[in-house]
Amino acid sequence: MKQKSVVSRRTFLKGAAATVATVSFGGTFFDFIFSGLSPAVAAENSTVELFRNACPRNCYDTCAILSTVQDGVLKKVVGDPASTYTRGTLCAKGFSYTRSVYSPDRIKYPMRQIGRGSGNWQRISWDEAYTEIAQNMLRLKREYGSTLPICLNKYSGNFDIMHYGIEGMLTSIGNTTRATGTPCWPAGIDAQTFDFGTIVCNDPEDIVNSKYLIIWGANPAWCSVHSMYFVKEAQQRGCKVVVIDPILTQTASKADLYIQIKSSTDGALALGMARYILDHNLYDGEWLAKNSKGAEEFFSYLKNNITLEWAAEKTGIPQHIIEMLAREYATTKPANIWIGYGMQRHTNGGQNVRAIDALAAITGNIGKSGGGAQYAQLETWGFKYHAMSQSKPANSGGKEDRAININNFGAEVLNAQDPPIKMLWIACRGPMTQDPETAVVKKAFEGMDLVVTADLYMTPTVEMSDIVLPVTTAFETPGVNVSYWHYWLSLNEQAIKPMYESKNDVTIAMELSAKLNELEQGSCTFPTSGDLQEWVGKEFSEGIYKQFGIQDWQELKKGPVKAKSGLIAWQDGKFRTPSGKYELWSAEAEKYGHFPLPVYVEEMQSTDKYPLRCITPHWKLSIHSQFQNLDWMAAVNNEPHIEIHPKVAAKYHIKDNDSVKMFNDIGYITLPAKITETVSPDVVAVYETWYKNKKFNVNYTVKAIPADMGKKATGAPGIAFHDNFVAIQKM
Amino acid sequence: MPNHTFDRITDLAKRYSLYSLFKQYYQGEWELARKAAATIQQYIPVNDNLSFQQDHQLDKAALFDYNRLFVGPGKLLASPYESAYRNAQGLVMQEETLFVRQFYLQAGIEVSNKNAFPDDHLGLEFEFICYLLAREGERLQADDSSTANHYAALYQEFCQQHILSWVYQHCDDILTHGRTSLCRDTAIALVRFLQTEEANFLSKEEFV
Ligand code: SF4
Repeated sequence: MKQKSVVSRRTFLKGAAATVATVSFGGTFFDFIFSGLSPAVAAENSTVELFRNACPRNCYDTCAILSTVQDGVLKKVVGDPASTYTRGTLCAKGFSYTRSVYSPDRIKYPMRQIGRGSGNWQRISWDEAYTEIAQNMLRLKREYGSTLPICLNKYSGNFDIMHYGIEGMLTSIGNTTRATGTPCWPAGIDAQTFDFGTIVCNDPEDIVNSKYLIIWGANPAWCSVHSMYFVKEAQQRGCKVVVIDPILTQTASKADLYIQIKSSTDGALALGMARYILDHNLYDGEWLAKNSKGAEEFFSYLKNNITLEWAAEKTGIPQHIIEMLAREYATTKPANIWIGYGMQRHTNGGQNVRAIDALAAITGNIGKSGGGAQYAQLETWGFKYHAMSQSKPANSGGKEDRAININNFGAEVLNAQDPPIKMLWIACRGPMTQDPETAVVKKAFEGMDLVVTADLYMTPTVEMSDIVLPVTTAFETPGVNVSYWHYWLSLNEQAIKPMYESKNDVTIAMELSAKLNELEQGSCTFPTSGDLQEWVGKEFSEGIYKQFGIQDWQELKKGPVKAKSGLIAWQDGKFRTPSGKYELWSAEAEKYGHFPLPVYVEEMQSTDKYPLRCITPHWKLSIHSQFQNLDWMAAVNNEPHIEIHPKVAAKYHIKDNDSVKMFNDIGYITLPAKITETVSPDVVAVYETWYKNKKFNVNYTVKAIPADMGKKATGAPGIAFHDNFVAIQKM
Repeated sequence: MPNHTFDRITDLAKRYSLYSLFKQYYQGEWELARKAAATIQQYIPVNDNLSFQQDHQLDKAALFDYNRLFVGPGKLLASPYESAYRNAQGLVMQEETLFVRQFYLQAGIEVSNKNAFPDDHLGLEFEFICYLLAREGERLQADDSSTANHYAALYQEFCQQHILSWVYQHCDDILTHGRTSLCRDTAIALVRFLQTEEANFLSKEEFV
């Protein structure tokens, strides 16, 4: 609420009029010079233009957007009806884009903080920013003989292809340290890599052809809203939809059957089902004989090691339900499984994905329309990566880039030696809220000579930076986007001018390069100028043109296009494994230290001290640290909760909205309770996100425990985010 | 030149110089704060408990304070944008901003880097006022009182429709969140000055 004015206007008015006349002042000089204004050029007619944009967020849907711009102001965003996936709508997050572009909270100018974390900021020019950054880079190179003390942490804040120019910028100064890996989905990627050779999913629009669909550990009603249309359409065409999840999600509420499973035991359910399918001869022996390797070994493992009683006991799901599920899944064709990312964020997550893949394989559902084991795809990502592909300057020291694990970033930065890490460049990321072990991450930041963050808003990561650089939104810069789920390709046009002094990350790279070369000729190879639109064009490869059936990228100005082929994964039966078959037995898995078969690996257990598993799924109004800070989202909900099953709550005498402390060895958070039967009794749920101006960050309690897989395909294992064991206590 | 015209020009010049100081202050020259506050004191005797503190620290603390209030990178504690106060959701570049744009256009003026910087930043609104007052003065010196009156009327309209509708609240925010006497006193000085202007509008109306 606004306060009353400092001075009561009435009382003041009386005296003021009387006193003015008595003041004497000399001079009649009007030295007016324009600074921020200027005489208007001939009055323009009002214009309304439409632009094509793409949502670059780390979201399944990568929506094609139509933006309405009136007289240079972004007025409205809608889903592009030209995409049969986006179908003319956006999600609540997407619809809020006009708010993020024009949020009063945007970072407007480059600024320098005097004392990291002090909140004492000084506005600087871009030139000052580049100078300070370049001087530090060159100094570190002199002191340590290479640019290895400079570390990049960039990931999923913006998946526009041009944004890989940030990696290119670091390459162009020499060998540097890179936070490598991906936090949230690598265990599943490796699992499918061992089984199929890589990740490929069916076109999600093909879901309509499924007759049976198991959504396993995914919540598309929140996290892939456009897919829900196809799920419902399938349902209407007679498909039975089953949701398996420890949480009765919004997706589950739309299902024909919801099965609440004990977190992290998904593999046991899959193997129990497989045993039933084997015992009842419901498997597709013909498909297996033709396409797979290791079926015999897998079946003998099932016979010798798996029983339905055991599966029921492990998963908390009654045996007759497992039998029903197995029977229905194996006998309804085609049957589809959507494997979510939530279920693989465990120390046995990759192994569990392999067990589920095996279900799809033994029932012959692979390579079929309406079937499959959908995880994700990177088939449409075959760009040139022109902005990323830079050469290293000669004699810049060091042998090669140094990879550190992005999933244990704080500790790895602190432990890096010869040379130590002294400078961080953070882009498209918020490690201070989104990484596990926040306290360690903070310590790593504290040890730096210089931390540079490029961002849109003040976040806890920016708070711990020395220099912040304002970046553009997707509407202020050109780009190109594809999805890791659907098969559309969208151009992102620059719809409006960059607000304030914000710049595209590639422009920043160009200008920093100019500064580096000014200070030390030859110290940076990144081009010092270039037209961003043209640079977008340079990202396109022949392969992309062929895949999408276009001759020139400019054709995309007419609308997004969909891949012309490859829409049903593995339809050709050519698997990319070493054997060329679907590998139930994977020597490659063994090479990486796993069991060659998709056997059950024991899930992590709670302890007496920390009896509850805290899972931290995605929140409906945010994608990690993005969106929840906007006014519309805050208006819907601005309070994190801990969701607790009534039985658990009763044990701790916790009632709805009571303040609860959740803690373990590494930290604690205090937040209000929400008592709900939607969570299973073995877990508490705290949705991960960043709330502006709230002292909430669940990652203070999350240890950097690696998931079982991820090393092969992404360079580092994922994080077992959902193997976080905690105690709770009423405050 | 008749005496009353001379008086009008003199008065105009004083007000112009004050607006000019505030314009520069809001356009980033925070060091001008002290000068603005001091000049105001010459213009308006201050005789209540909101007297200016004399210990203006033209040091980093004031600069940091200024940035926290008006510049960033965090949420602005006293946003210098009209729409922050008048738009229901406090967004920039909304209808409220475009009304200001329209007003500028009436006088043949626009923001140089249009659509990159919101038109309703206080530094720009003050610059617009400076422009109107300078034109008024220039026309008066040229004995063209009818055009001068046109600019005076535009100024009054702009001030009443825009400045006075939000800047008092904005100054309240500075007094609530400002930590240094420099920023706080400048806000008080600004309130004083605008109140004088408002009083003048009223007395003119009474006179008519
Ligand atoms: S967040 Fe996802 S669903 Fe929402 S607009 Fe962006 S891509 Fe579409």
